[in-house]
Amino acid sequence: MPEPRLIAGIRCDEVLTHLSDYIDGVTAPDIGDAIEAHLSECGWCEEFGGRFARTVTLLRASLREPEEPAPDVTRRLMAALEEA
Amino acid sequence: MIAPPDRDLLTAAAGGDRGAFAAIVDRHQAAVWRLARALTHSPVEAEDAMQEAFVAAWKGAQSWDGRGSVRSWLLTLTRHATFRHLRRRAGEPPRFEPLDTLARSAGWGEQVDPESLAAALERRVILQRALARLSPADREILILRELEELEGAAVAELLDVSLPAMKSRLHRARLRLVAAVREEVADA
Repeated sequence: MPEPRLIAGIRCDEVLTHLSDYIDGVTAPDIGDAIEAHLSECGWCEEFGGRFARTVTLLRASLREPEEPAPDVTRRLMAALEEA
Repeated sequence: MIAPPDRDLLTAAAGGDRGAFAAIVDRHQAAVWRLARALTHSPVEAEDAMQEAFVAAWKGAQSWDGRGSVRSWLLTLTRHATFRHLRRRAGEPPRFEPLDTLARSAGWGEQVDPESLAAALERRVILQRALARLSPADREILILRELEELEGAAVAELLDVSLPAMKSRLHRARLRLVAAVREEVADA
């Protein structure tokens, strides 16, 4: 990537700065609109933004899969609490 | 019968009601376990940390100040317990790097094959290995943010930082995760 480009009124490095807020849906409306317009015209940011968003989405999905401690872990915890 | 809210259970536990505290454990054990597993090196360490956290919660139930949720309070105790177990070797947050430097490590500005990368990401083992490459501080904020019910402000309060500071740390941790995934894919 040569230099950040100004597309739709926002530069690539500015899009980078706001990426997390953008995928979390907490950017100010005007910034969100500018990012969306930039992504539709900038292949580099569209590719990187997509990869970034997919990674966060997959992380979120994997963390929200139930991971319970094994039954014996729970038994030992309850035993420790009985002694506390 | 409607289950009592956490606050009522904790108040009862503060008065010595073990059954109420057992209900607290039942509700929040999975979340505490997930965080302890993410921040420690082994299931044994995670179990020790989880026990410490819940014992501390039982003994200190009357000290909960009522701010935030009971879950946030338990996760704070879990953080403290895991940090006592961790050897703070590679556990310190990385030195500050400019955002574009982090992003270039993650492949910002490079042409990649999106199909092969998407396929690689679907292999959960790649993601798990990438997570393991990160510092405990990075793993912690990623996990806290993505755990259900913990929005940005709650994570910031739990970490005792401002919301902008939390957002900055989160963004950097996410970029490091993307870079780590890229390394795992390259190594695969």
